[in-house]
Amino acid sequence: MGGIKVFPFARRELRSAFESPVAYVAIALFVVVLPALFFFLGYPVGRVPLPGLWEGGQASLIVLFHWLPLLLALVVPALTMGAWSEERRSGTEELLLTYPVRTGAIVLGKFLGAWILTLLMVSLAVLSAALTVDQLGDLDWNTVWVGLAGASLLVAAYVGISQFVSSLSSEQLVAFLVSALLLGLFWALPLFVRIFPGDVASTLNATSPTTHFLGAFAHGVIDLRDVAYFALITVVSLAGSTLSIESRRWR
Amino acid sequence: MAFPLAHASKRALRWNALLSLLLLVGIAVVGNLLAARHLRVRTDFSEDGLNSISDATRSILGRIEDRVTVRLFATEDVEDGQLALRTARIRNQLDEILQIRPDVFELQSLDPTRSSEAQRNAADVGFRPMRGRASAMDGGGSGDPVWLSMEMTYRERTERIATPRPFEFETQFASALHGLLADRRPGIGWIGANIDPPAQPSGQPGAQENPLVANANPTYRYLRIALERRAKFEPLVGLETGRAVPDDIDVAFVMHPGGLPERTVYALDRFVQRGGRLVVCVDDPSYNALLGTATFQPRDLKTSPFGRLLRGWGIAVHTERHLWDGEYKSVRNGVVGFRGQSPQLVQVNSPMVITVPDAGLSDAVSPTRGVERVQFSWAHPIVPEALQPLPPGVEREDLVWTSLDARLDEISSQLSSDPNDLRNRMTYLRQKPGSKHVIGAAFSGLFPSPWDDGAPPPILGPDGKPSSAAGKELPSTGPKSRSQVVVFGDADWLRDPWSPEGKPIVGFGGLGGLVLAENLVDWLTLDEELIGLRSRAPKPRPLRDFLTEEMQAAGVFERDPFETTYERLERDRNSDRARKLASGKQWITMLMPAGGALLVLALFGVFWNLVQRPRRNDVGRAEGSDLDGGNRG
Repeated sequence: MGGIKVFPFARRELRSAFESPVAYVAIALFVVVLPALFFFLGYPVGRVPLPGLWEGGQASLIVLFHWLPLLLALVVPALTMGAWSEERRSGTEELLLTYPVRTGAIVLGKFLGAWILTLLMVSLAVLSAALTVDQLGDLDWNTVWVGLAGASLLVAAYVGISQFVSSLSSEQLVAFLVSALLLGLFWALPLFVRIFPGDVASTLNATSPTTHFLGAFAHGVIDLRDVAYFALITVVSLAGSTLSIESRRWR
Repeated sequence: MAFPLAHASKRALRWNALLSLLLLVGIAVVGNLLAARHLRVRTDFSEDGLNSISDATRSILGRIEDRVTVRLFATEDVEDGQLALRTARIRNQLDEILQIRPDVFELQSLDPTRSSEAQRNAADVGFRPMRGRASAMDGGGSGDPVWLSMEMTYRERTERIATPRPFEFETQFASALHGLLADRRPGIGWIGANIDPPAQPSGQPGAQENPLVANANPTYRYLRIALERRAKFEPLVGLETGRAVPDDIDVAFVMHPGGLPERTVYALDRFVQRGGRLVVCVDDPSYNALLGTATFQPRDLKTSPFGRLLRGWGIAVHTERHLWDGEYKSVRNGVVGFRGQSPQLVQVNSPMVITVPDAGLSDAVSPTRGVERVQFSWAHPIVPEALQPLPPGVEREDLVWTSLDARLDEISSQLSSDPNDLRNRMTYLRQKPGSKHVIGAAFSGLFPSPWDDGAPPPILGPDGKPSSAAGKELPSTGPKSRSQVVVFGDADWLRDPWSPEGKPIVGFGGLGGLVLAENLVDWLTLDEELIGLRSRAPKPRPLRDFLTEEMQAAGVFERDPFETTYERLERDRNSDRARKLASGKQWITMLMPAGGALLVLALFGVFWNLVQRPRRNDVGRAEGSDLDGGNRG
């Protein structure tokens, strides 16, 4: 039996990512775009727009953290759209499933590979911006580290959901669009809560990863409820991917 | 026969997968609900620590000895989503606080929209729903009334929070609880200066002609409002007629004490002898903040009765001089006008209006710890201990001081605020070495009294002259006790930040004065818990201002009053050069880390591809060996 041999699959994902220029271009763009939005634009979304770094004049990364859920809702589907749909389109999925390892191990390996890649991208962007802000003022590094820890959970949930969507589709573009729409919807939920009745608003607000990330992690707080939320979303989406792939063995 | 069975089995497996997926989603939903209810563990790692219950709140909660009934008037079904979230946030915080001492709190939730009795009760105590405000704030909403107020009762005393605010709720709750637990409200006395603006323009020169002069008179209404929230406030009148400082006064503010009659000074001495605390603000120049000018009306503390009393306690304020601070100078409006030209309003650096930052406030004692930026105007220095020795049993602690770039200047009868005059004067003063001067200090111990062995001074009659009933000693309410006297060489730091017409007098950066005053009252009445609560403000983390740095380095701010056209053009060129330099530095600071990150990425890419190139010839074999290796393992 294959047991839970996860790391070879994670390595394979990472290797294939770094052998093509796509990963480098995506990371470079992210490292440039995220700080640029943070420095100059601020976060003009929602009822209380946040000013950019220079306009706000305070050494804080809170605006940068506000951008993360939205940008990742676009970037993660782009990085993971081919995780399963490309395998299926090119016919390598069947080969992959013939390996004498559990489907769960393959799913987990692919998830780990994409998670590490995305986390590397986020860390580079956040830390480069943090270094800039630290040169300009008295930055609270504790908040930066907790924010990064929260970002790693957010990325895990996003990667899990996107790979699940990818496992359902054989077209990369469809996987990307559906994932981006789904994650975008999750991101936008807190913006529209006021048009819903109170109970529904509270439920929708609690459903959004944005609420869980910005409510605590971005302010330097670790709340076990938020950790549980992201952990459950990730586990359920990975289990969903496994079931989805597994169900194809039975066809 | 086997095929249909297998087919059915596959279908069953697919259904099984679908059901498993639904089950997982159900587990996720239930898991989150359970976590939301029972997994309330959170740790705040931020340096400011604003997202967790403070030690001050825990300390106040720890002092509760009896049952506290919390009546929460809150609408259960809030139609407006935003207000529902606000309500939920406050209820979450309330639950979190109540969970610290569940044994002492009794929470009664009442919904005035469902119960007419609850609505009557809420209206009786003055609570109002948020309907109007909600609609205005959110630009919509159903407009239905939303109730969210609370009342706390402890040992038949009641405190109310009419409008809980989501981001200040802990402070609101803890302050109200602190008020409930206190045996009595501290008493604060006030003497020596008008606390409210006079009904008529004052006798200050120019007041009749220019309403700005009258409007900028240093009154202290905002301080009074802040203190009255949690203390009994009483102007001390009639001390010169033989009245004593009332027994329920704990702290007395003595403002502009130069002109106080000797009998009043005697009453204040008796107050201190029995343990009363004083906050003394010595300030001879009368400063008009809006005009930026000050008029010196000499009421020399050196020869006044109060000055003699202070010197007997080892306290001397150098009222003949005032401070210039080249580093802690403030930016304020000034008027520049040449002969034949209309005056222009410009921003000038005024070294006489000193904004003391964190570095100039003591960390050794609680009232100044965590206070940000207190603004002083035409301040006098407090004479150092070496020149004014302390009597035995009295200790001194410096609270506020200038930077090392501070100088003393003679007080002229009319202090100009013309930017050119200021520059010239600063240039002249800088020829002398700068040093640090103390603006505020606290003295504590057993203060000697000049009237211990002598007869008390005569009381004053209605005509202001000594009365025949002079000399009667004030009744003492207790033995001689340790006391504290806090002295500042300025009174403007307590002044209203806005004029009666709403014009800003003090910049927002200089609003730490009110916080310092409240902290002092709490410190002097031994109520340090509230200082801990008040200091829970986010720490200001200002960014480097490249433009100001470059402008200062280029000397653009220093204007020569006799500037020629060539010099003006040169200054403009320097200004442009400074702007370009500042912009360049800003871009370099922004691009360096991002560029570094991209460089690391590029180097990693090169390294990776160099390492992987030999393997690329046989990718399939490499992958196969990987997976086979995994399999063998």
